[in-house]
Amino acid sequence: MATLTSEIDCSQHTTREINQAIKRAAADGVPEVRLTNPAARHCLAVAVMSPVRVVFDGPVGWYCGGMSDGVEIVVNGNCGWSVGENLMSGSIAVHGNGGSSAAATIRGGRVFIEGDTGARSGISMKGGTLIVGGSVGYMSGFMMQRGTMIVCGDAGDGIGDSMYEGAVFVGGEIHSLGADCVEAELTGDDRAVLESELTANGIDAGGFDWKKLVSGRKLWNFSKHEYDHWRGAL
Amino acid sequence: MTDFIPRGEDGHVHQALWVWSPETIDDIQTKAELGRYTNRGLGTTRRTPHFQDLTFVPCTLSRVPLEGYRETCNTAVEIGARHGATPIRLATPITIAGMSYGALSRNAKQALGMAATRVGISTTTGDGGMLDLEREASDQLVYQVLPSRYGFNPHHLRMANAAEIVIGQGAKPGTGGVLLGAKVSEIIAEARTLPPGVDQRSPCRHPDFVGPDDLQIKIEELREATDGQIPIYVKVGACRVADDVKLACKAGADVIVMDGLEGGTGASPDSLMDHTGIPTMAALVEAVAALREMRLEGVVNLIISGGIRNGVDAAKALALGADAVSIGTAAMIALNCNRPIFVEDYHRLGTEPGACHHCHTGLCPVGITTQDEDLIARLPAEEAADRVAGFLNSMTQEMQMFARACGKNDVHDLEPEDLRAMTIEASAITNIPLVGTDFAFRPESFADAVMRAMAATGSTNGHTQPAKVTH
Amino acid sequence: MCGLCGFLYKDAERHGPVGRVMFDMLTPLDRRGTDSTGVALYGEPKTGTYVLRVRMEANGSTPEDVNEALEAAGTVSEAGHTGGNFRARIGYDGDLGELTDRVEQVPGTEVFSIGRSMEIVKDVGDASDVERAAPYSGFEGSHAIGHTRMATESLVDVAHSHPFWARPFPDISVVHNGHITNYHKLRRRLAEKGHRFATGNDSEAIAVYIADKLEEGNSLEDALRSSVHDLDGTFAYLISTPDGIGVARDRFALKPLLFAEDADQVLIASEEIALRRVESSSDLKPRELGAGEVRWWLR
Repeated sequence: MATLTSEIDCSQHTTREINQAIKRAAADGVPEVRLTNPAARHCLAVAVMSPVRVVFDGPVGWYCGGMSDGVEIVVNGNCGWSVGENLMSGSIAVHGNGGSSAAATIRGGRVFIEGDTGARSGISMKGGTLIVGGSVGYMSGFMMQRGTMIVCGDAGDGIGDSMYEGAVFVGGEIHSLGADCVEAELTGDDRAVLESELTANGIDAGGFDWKKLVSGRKLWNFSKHEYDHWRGAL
Repeated sequence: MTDFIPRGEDGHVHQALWVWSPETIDDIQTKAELGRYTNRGLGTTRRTPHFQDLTFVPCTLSRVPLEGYRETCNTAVEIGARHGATPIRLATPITIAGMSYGALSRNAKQALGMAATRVGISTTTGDGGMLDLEREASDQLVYQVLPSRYGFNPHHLRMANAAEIVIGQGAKPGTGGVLLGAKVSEIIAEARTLPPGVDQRSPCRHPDFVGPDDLQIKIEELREATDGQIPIYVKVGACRVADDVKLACKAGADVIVMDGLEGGTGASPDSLMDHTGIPTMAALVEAVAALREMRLEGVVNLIISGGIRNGVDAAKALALGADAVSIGTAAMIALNCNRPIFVEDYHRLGTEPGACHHCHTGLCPVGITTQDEDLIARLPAEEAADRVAGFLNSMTQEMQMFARACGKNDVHDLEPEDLRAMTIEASAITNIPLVGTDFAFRPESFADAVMRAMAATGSTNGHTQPAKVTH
Repeated sequence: MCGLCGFLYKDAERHGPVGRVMFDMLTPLDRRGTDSTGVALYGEPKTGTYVLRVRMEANGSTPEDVNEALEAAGTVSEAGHTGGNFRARIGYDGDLGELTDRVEQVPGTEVFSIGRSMEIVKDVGDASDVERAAPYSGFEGSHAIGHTRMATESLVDVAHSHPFWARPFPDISVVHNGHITNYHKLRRRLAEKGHRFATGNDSEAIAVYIADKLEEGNSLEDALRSSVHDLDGTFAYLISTPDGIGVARDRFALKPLLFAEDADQVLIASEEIALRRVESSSDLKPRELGAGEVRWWLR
C-alpha cells in the first residue's frame, strides 16, 4: 500500500539515490515526498516527469527541479543557480533567496521565489511564469522569448535586454532598461494576471507601482539605419 | 610561374593588388551598403595546414601488408563509456555532426538518419531540437544541448542515445549562432518559440552555467536527468585546445568533440569563419597530447571534425589519435550540395554549382538547407539516404585500404609513425618527420638531430676534440 | 575556474577554529576543482615579529638553509616544517621585499606568505590532500579565506595555486574564481613598474594589482572598487587583510559568490553547499553578491 508521504534523509543517500527515489515515488503514485537535510546539494529533483509533490526542508543547490514536467516542488530555504531550468510544466516555490539564472529557459509552469534572485533571472524564457517576491539582479529577462516575469522588488541594470516577446512586470525600481526594452501600458488583462499570480503566492498585488516592459522590436530584423540599437546587441 | 594575365587595351598588364583585391573591394562596398558585417554559409575560404599535407608510408620490405579481401580489418569502436553509460557503438569510426533542423530541411535530416542506421553510426540533432522524423530514422541519435536551447525538450533528451553539450563550433567559436529571417518560417519559428521572420540571434553562452567549474554541475544534472544511462559529450571549437580538453575532462565529459577551423555552418559572419579557431589537424594533435598528459587517452573519447573530406582524411585522423571523425559538410555534399542540377537556380543566387555557399539564404537549389516546400521536394529522402550511405561506405573502404596497406587489421591501430609530412609546416604541427628526413620540424627534434650530426661527423669546428655536449 | 570560501569572526577579540571551518567549507567545493587547494589563515600576532611560510622544492635546499638565511636577517623562533612546507617566526623590522628576496636566494624556495598573523598553506590536490601534506584544520584564528582550483590556462602545481600573497605587503592575499582576460596587458604594465610575478597564473595579477594600488597610497576599499573597472573577464574574488575580508564581483556577475552574516560572523562561499557545512550557519540566510558589487567586513 502506498504511503501518503515518503520521507528521505538526504544526508544518508547519494544524489542518484535521492532522485531515483523521487522518480519511483512519482511512478508509484505517492502524492508527496519530503526530503530532510538537503544541505544545498546540487541537481535534486531533476527531470521528474510525472506529478508528485516534493518538499525540501532546507536549502537546495543548483538546478533543483531542472528539466522537470509536471512536478510540484517546495523549498523551505534558499536555492542555487538555475532553479527549474527548462521546466516544461508544474510549479516550484522557494521560500528563500534564489541564485542567478533562476527559471532559465523555462517553457511552462510556474517558478516562485519569495526573496531576491541573482543576475540573469528568467534568462531566455520560452513560456511559463517567473515570480520573484524580492529583487532581481543584473540583466534579468535577457533574451526572453515568451512568458511572464513578475518582479515585486527592484530590477537590476539591463532588465529585459534583447527580448523577443513576453512581458516583464516590475513593482519596484528599474535601475536601467536593457537593449530594445521599452515600457508599455498595462492592460486590464495584465492586472488580472498580476492579481491572480501574486495572490496565489500570498502577495498583495495592489501594493506596488507596476511597470510593464516589452520588446521594442527594433532588433527583430537588422536595419542599418537603427545602428544605435544594434551597436550593443550585435 | 605566373597565371595568364590579359593585357588591357593599352597593351599593358594591369595586375590586381593583394591587399586591395577584387574580393576585398567588393567586401568593403557591400558592407558600406549593408551597414553591418556579411554572413555566408559552409566554411572557410582559407587553405589551411590540413591532412592533405600528410602521406602514408605503407608496408614494403620492413613490414607485411594485409590482403584486401580475406584478411579482415576491423572498423568498429565504442564511444562514451567513461562513466558507465551505454556507449554509442559505431560500426565504422564516423559520425554525422550536429546540423539543425531549421538550417537543414526535414528530408535532409531524415535521409541522414536513414543512412546512419544503414551503416551503423550516429547522427546528431542541432540548434532547434529533435525532429521526430530523425529520431525514427536514426538508430543512434545524439541530442545537442546548445546555448540557445531552442526546441530543447527533456523528454527528447531522455529518448536520445547520448547528449552533446555544445560550447562552440569550429566555424565560429566564442560566438552564438545566426539564422536569418528568410529561414525562420512559421514551422521553424514555432519550434524555436520565436516570432516568424526574425533575424534569430543565438546567445554565445549557455543560460544556466558559466565556465568549466559550473559545467561540471551541469553535466551532473544531465546525468541525473537521464539516470546515468547515456554518454555526455562536450563539443568545442578548436581554440586553446590543450586547456579546453583538460577542462572538459575535469568537468566530467565522456567524449570530447573537437571542431576545427575548417568546420562548417549554416550561417556565420565571413570574418569569423576565416579568422577564428585553429585547423583541425593541429587541434587533433594538441588534443591528443592534452589527453595523454591527463592520462585519459582512450578513457575520454575524442571525435574530431572540420574539413574531413573522405576516408583518407579519416584514416590520417585516426593515425594521429582520434577515436572517430565527424562529418557535416561532406555528408551534405553526398546528399547533393553543390551538385550541378537546377543550375539556373544557382545562377539566380549569384553563384555556380561547385562554388555555392549560400545556405544562409534558405534558397538551396537542391533542397538541403531550405524550408521551402518546393525546394525540399527536390530531395526525396530514400535516394538521398542511398547516396550518403554510399559515401560512408566509401570512407570505410578507404580507411581499411590504408590500414591494410600499413599492415594493420584494425583501423584504430594506425599510428603517427605510419605517416610522413609533405611540408615543413605539417611536420612542425604534427611532430611527424618530413619526407626524406628522419626528423620532425620541432625544436626538440632539431636539437637531437644536431647532436647526432655532430657526433657522427666527429665535427670539431676548429677544436682538436669534439665539443663536449651536455643535455 | 574554482571554488572560494571565507570566514570571519566579527569580534576583534575572538579567535576560533578557522582552520576546521576552512576544511569543512573546502571539502564540498572540490567539484569546482581539485588541481590544488589553499588557505590563508590569520592567527594570533606576536608583537615585533612576522610569521613566514616558505615552500621548499624536493631535491632543493633544506630547512636548515632557509633557517640560516632568516637568521642572517633577524631572530628566528618556532621554526619547523612538514615535508616541503617550512614555517617560522622572525623578529624583523626591515623591508619585507628584501626579506623575501633574501630567502628566495636559497635555491628552490618560494615564500608563500609573510605577515604579522597571515599564513598561507597550499598544495596540489583537494582539501584532504593538503591537510595530509601540511595540516591546517587545527588552526585557531580570527579569519581565513580558502580556494579549490580548476586550472584554466596555467600550470597545475603548487606555485600556481591560490591564495596569492600581495607581496611584499604583509597579511594580504587573494583567492579568485574566473579568468582575467586582460592579464597579459595588466602584467606587462605592472612588471614595468617593477612588480614581480612568480607564475603565469592570471589570478596572481589581482594580488599584484592590489599591492600596486596600496603602494600608490589607495585604501583597500578604493583598490577593490577600481579593480571592478580595471580587471577584464570573469571574476569573483576575496581579499584577506590583517583585520578583514573584502569581496568583489565582475560587472556581469558571471562567477557565483554568496555571503551570509549575523552579529558574530561572516561566511562567504561560491556555493551554499559549502556554507551549510559550518555548524553555526544553520540560521543564516545567504544571498548573492550583486554584479560589480564590492563588500568589506572588518573585525
